[in-house]
Amino acid sequence: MGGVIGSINAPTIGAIIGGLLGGAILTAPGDTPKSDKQKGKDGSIAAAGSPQPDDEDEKVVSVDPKSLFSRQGKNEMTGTSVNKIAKSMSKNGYVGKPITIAKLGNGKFAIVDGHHRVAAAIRAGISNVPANVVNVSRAQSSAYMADVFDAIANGAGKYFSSSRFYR
Amino acid sequence: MNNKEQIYEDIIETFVDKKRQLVAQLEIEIGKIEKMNMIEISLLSNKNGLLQFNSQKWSYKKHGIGYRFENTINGEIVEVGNLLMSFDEIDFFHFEEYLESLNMQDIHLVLEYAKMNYG
Repeated sequence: MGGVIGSINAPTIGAIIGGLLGGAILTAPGDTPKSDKQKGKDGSIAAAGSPQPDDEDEKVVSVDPKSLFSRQGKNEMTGTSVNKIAKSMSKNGYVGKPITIAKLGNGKFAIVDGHHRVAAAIRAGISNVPANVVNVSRAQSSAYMADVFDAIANGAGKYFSSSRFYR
Repeated sequence: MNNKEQIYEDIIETFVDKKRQLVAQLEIEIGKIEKMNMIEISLLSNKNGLLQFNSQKWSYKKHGIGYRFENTINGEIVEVGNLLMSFDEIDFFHFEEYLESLNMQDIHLVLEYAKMNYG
């Protein structure tokens, strides 16, 4: 069971259920959705958390950066970039395009793109970042999971929350 | 176009060319990128390494769906943050980082010009 709660209005409810399910805490940005369905880019309605056929149908949700897992170890991160983005985020809030995340077999979410923005958001104390959730195959999800294990072994904890991956 | 604008254009063109050429060199190591989608790029296993480019050694390391290249001699940094983006599209954050790595003067003027014309 996953923790995709893409369209729940109150972040606190999302947080509670997401926490119970052990996955990332996701809420739709803008606090506007009225049901467990949300509109796609083309106006079509897709059930929150349902698989998307391809990247075109990805949806943007709000996610707690601390609930995401890195696929990059500390040596694949650039400290100066993280500091620079964090400084900007501390002043202006989240900066940049939505990050991209993928759901893993254990219901947690790995970062596909946006490692530096996530690390900077954590550093800046930002609790919600916009994210595109992409649908991946089981094999791809397993490969991402292997990346996360590698990253944790290679010091990802310097920038990200790592220990919760094993819970 | 005045002299300064021509200089700024040359700087931007050099940055774009370097991105294109470094990725072309990288493709020899990791395979043709244009045939890949975002997920495939993100799962490329060859994360770090060294390239020979313009008779100099450049290190590369994977960043999300892009690569960061660094000249091992002079510290020049060329980051292609998103391999799915056209090389002509300027990512200003990484462009600024490139200018800083070259210790270029009047960085804010070059950036301002780039944002005005390519933003």
